[in-house]
Amino acid sequence: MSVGDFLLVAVLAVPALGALAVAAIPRDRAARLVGTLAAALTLVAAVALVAGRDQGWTTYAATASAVRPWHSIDLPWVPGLDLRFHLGVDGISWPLVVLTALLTLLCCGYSLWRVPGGGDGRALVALLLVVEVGILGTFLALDLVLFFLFFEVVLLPMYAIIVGWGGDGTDPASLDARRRAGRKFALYTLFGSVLLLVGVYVVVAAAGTADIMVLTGGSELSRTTQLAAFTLLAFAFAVKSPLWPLHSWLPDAHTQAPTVGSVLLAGVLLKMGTYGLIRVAVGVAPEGARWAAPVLGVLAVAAILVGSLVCLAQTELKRLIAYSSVGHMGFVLLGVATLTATGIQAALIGNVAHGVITGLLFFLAGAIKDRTHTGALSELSGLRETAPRLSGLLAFAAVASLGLPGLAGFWGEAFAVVAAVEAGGALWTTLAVLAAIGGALTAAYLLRLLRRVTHGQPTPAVAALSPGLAGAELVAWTPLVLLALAVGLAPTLVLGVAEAPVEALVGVLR
Amino acid sequence: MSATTLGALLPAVPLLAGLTGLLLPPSPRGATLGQATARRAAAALGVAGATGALALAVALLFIIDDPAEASTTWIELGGLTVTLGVRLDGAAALVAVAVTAVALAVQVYSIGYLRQGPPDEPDHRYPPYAAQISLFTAAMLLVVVSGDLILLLVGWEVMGICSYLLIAHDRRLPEAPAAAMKAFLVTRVGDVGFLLGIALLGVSAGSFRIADVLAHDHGTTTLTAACLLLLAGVAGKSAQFPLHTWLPDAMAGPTPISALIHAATMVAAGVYAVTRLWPLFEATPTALVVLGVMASVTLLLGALAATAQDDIKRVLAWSTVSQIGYMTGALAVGSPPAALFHLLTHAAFKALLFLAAGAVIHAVGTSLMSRMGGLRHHMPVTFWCTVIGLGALAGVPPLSGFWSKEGVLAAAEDALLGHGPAPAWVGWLVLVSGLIGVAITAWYATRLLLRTFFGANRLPASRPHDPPATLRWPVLLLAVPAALLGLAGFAPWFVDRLLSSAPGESGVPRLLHVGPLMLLPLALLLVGVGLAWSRWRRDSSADPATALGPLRPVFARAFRLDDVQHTLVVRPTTALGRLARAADERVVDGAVTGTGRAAGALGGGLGTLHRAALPRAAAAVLAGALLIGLAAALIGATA
Amino acid sequence: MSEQSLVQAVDHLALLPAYLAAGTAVLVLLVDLVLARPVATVVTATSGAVATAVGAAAVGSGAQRRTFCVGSDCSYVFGGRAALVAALVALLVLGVLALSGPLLRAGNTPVGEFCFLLTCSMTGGVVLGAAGDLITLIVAVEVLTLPLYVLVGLRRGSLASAEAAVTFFVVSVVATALTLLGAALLYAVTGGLHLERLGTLLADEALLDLPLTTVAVTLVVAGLAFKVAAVPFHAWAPATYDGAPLPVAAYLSTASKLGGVIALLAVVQHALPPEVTGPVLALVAALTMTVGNLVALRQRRTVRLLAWSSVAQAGYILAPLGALALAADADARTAAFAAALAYAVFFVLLELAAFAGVVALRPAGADGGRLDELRGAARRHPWVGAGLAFALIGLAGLPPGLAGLFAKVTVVRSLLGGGAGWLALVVAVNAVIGLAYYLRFAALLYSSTGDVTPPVVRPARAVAVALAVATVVALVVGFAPQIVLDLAAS
Repeated sequence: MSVGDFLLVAVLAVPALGALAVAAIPRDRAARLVGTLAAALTLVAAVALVAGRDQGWTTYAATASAVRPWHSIDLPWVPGLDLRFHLGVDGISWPLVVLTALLTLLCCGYSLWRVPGGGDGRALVALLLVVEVGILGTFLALDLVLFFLFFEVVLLPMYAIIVGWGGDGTDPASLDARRRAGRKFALYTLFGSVLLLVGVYVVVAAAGTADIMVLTGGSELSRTTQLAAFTLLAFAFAVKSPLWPLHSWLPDAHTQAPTVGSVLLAGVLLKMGTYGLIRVAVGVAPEGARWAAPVLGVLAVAAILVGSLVCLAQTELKRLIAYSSVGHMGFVLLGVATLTATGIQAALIGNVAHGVITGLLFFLAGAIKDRTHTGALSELSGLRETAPRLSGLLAFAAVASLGLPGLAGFWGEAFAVVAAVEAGGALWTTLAVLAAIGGALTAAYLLRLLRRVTHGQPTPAVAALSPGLAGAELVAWTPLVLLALAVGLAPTLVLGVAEAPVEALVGVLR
Repeated sequence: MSATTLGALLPAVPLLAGLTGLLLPPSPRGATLGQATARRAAAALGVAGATGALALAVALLFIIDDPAEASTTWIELGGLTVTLGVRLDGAAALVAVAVTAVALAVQVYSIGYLRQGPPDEPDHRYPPYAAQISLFTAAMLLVVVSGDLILLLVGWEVMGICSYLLIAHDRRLPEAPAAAMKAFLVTRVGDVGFLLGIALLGVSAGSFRIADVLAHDHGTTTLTAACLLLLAGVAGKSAQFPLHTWLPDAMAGPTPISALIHAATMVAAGVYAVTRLWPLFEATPTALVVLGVMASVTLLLGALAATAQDDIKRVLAWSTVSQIGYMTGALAVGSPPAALFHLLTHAAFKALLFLAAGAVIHAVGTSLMSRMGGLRHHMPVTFWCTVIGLGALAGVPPLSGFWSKEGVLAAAEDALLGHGPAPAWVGWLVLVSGLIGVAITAWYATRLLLRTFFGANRLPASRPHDPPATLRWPVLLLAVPAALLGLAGFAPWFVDRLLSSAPGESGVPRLLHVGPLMLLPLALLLVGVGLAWSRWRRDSSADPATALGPLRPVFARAFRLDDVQHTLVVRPTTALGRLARAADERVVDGAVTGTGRAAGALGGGLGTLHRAALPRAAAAVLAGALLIGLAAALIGATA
Repeated sequence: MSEQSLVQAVDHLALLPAYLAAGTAVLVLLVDLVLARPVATVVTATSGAVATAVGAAAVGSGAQRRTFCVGSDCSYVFGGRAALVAALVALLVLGVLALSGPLLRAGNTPVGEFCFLLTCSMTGGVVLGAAGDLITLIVAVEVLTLPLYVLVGLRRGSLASAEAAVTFFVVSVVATALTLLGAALLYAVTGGLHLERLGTLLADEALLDLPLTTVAVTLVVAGLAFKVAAVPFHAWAPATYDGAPLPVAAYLSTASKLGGVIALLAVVQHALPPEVTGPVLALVAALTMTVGNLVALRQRRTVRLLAWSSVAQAGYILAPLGALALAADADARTAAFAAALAYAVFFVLLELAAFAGVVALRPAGADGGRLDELRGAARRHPWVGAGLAFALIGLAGLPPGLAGLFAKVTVVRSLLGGGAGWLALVVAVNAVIGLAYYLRFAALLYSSTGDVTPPVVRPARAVAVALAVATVVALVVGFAPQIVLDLAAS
């Protein structure tokens, strides 16, 4: 077993064992510390994956698979179900793996300092780690069935986090609200993943293998199978991403989830959908992708516009940010839908940028809600008077979120538009124009948010704030701020490794 | 040090100052300890950043001879190259000097101007304010030196957000946040077009590097579409009709910020961007026609609106709209050097005017001219500086504005003779509106001067006096170029640098020439001044604007275009937002929750069916089984 | 014909598990009569069940054994699958015995009768897997079921028990009558009773065209569908489960249901033409899972919820058989049978664990009660609560209940392998509905109780052990599902 393979296993095993350890240690604080340590180790392992990667891209052979992982392990697990324990990492998945590991670490670290009311911190950290295993597994899986398996792993821990630690009170009404939100999340996303299951076996039944490396390119599948498979898979990923109009689980879940839950949910959970779309749906059924691309594009632009418009009329802080995710993921999906190298790269960087920025936004929204005990925009104003640092960070995050050039959010959104222009034709040009208008609407609602929250005279809830930030908060937020800047200034951080695999993927699309 | 290194350092220096400044602690309300230190550090950083940038810009101006270019790949996105690079020529160096000089003046001025925040409280948010000015400067410099469209877009948009932050700085003004939002959003709407235009060009050329884009042979359709789209962005940033509405409202920001926005940054960026991509526009008559019409409308609209304002800053704001109209007009008739020349002189005299107006506002505590008057004796320095500024604005020879405006009109004359890339009638249009504009400008400049500095003091209680040193020196120093910069038009060294903005133009384009045509604007100038003065002579306490009669409220509200915009764009959008939210909650989410509820109800209904008593249940089941058997038999028989 | 001897050599080794099971029943009766000590009776029954399981495994590990043959047709075929079924039934009896601890100790239930009837039923189950002709099959199913009529109503002085027993009895009799009628008609049409012979005979096109054949086949399938409580023959299940003592309900929904599934599998796989049974079973499966899940959504009583959910689960079990009509090749058919059996095995494991959890969290000898009475139970008994929650999640088919997840995967795979995509989608949608109530149940265990703190009951040790064993086995099987898949395919 080479070092790379070892790291690959470690990335999954460390958080899994960490979760077990956390659950086994009776002392709350020590357990949380162990959990954070496990998350940190995972991040180290995830980052280290990039080292010693195979640079064999230059020797591109026509017969080679379009997916060529840097490291991979392939062990039999359940032959009766075509399930192999096949993991691998390449330039498409690696940035997301690192992002996941980073956000989990930040969430665990944050939980060292503050545990949301409702449950004990030990269980929360354990669940966070389990969620991390699921997400990382999804990004690393190179076997369709294994992919599905990890896809489902995330569901219940996340549900437990929403229901157990979410909401903002213990009165029956808010209890009920978060239970409803949790149920909606669980049932809706399960609906997506059972469709994924059916789609996976449509492919497996037709091709006789579940190996993504073999399947990418769709050469094994007939056109009809590809159309059916793509429809099912796209549905599944559209629910997760979420693509309008399959998004309505998201605002409730985000609003009710505790801060760390929202961060993970928006930061990486949604990426499972877009990643799946790129790696599985488009890769395995390219014919189907070409066939459905216009529909996907139209829906993506609808998501951008509807998400932004709803945000314009939104009155709750976290709900607004949640809906903004619908719009942002619309840009990502538009990028994927163009099926061009530009578009897919835009989608990849858009994914990472959204994870960083929205993660930060949810951290900040959580901090504001924890301090003022309200999320209503009408009760929050004048934040910059009493908490200038918090308000400054909020402004930074909002500005990054509206896609200001030079910050991370820009690349994904602008180049989704560029890709749509590149795709050409009346439809895609119209979509590009509408998406660009959506970008302006994005600015409108984020500035409206800033105007409501930071400007004006302080409300009673805001006036009582103390100006300082806790050390833990700074530690949790600084990496995200820096990343938003770094990815904005040096997008190569994300895309440098993705260029070759995306070229290969687009190669099979032609 | 090579020119390109200087060019790359140019935005980097204020950027560094700005980022460092953002890290300084903004002390909360009421705190005094430590904030003095932070404030001093912030001011020092801001001034140092601007000074450093100015030094670099001046050095660049001296060493630049031929256009220089350097770039490195920033990112490859699926075959589209985005580069990180600078593209320098003499015009860029000149604009950079103007930007940095105004920025330095503004930084120094702000130290004095923002000493007090709201009454009885020191302005506790000075550090971020100074840092944002540095960022603003850096962004504009990035636009100036950028050699790549995407990089240009970065500066372009960062400028937008800085303007947003700075306009909203003053928390005493309830309208400030709204004005800031409006500024950003209106320009952002224009940027929709700008982004699409860049996308079209970049996709067509396979690269976003300006040199590549200019060298590529785009089809006529692509080129026309791209140029028209770019114009939308230009209109937004340079406050051209119909996207000009944000600029007057942006007066809610602190006065130095107005100076920065009006003189050197935001509004200049649009004009400058067109000169950068001039070869593309030159090849697109359609775009030039649109630009010409836009310029003429803006020129007259701004000038007319300026006639009826009572707020001194709003007069200046509308005058900016009008003056930018001259610049875009010059571009429309095919003379980027004339546009840039006017941009430079305008930067000088408009910065001067705003800072002087700031001194007045600082002294009398109001910005309404109806509450000023007679300040000439109390504030002589400010008075004379304002006279120079207004003279330049109106185009009084030999002040700078006269020469540069002359250049624009001469270019228009050239065009109507069919020498330029634009159709002749555009030349006529620009020339005529420009000439009318001269008269109106003279009229409102005279009115401003008379209402503010002459006549009786309408606020006898106040004791106005000239401002302290930090406010006075920037004003005084800016008066020099405002007065004399126009004469630089006779210096070949200067003209060479300006002309570098339009390479490849055949023949010797006229930037300045003394001729009989000069008399026409002079006459119009005298008409304007005379009309205003005669009205004032009749009744020195009355506003000359009463002469406008029923048109006055229309002009004061700038033809109610704000209301039009509100009715046509803002209200439908917010209504659409509410509709989208309601539809999303009731229809889309309603379908989901409805499905859940329906499943529950169905389950309940089915459950009720199963509560039948035993005999009936047994009989029903038996009957069901027999029926199934029968059905199977029948199907089997027919099959 | 004449050369065949009418006196057959009986393969007693093949019959060993059946002997052991029957012997246990007799021994339990004797011990109860002679010693009259409850402990001794229970110990006897327990060791008998263990012996049966071991015997079945030992015999099954060898080659397939056939006996009671007429020519090549044998009435008793003990192979790998029969061994699996026999061992499983014996183990389930063992589990149910463990669950019965509190019930028997509470004193309302006669221990001797209880154990005797349970072991009798086990005998039926052991034979069932090996049945090679329709008569043996029906007799085995009846032996499995008959003692249950009594077991359901065994609780003294319980009106609900009595009512449940009567309902169960009446409906079951109707079902048996239907099956027998179908078998008789089949015999009339084909003249054969052995499953494999029927299969070859019914492959004849001319026979298939007879309406009577169709009716006969339908009646046999319908009669057996009663045993698995498939819609529309399911109405007895919720009332019966709810009225029965908890361990008996557990037995009904595990061993008894497994028996029904095995019987159906046997006839469908060997005897009946897939062209007829396929569509019928597909329809029944779709209806069963949908109705079961929908009604379960609104249940407020624990056992009723489990009962309806087990109706729905029967639908998943039947689903692969519904794909038969379309599955052209023999491989896909074998896979479908294996999938159904594998699902049944995963299911009974998790179902037993779920019942064990409920028994552990309820007071000794109590019935399932309302769901609300379990509110916050996992906070009082973290381990037991976790076990129950794990079982429920497994039944919903989600990680960490990997056993349940793989069960779902197995079914979907066989459906798509067999080309029944629409049924796979029905299964998928039902999985979502199923999660709704399983999740509500599981979340209820962890929700806070507010001010009311119900008395803390210590779970009986035997129940806890049963729960622990079932959970551990489910965990192991979850990580190594290939074991079950191999056994089911053998």
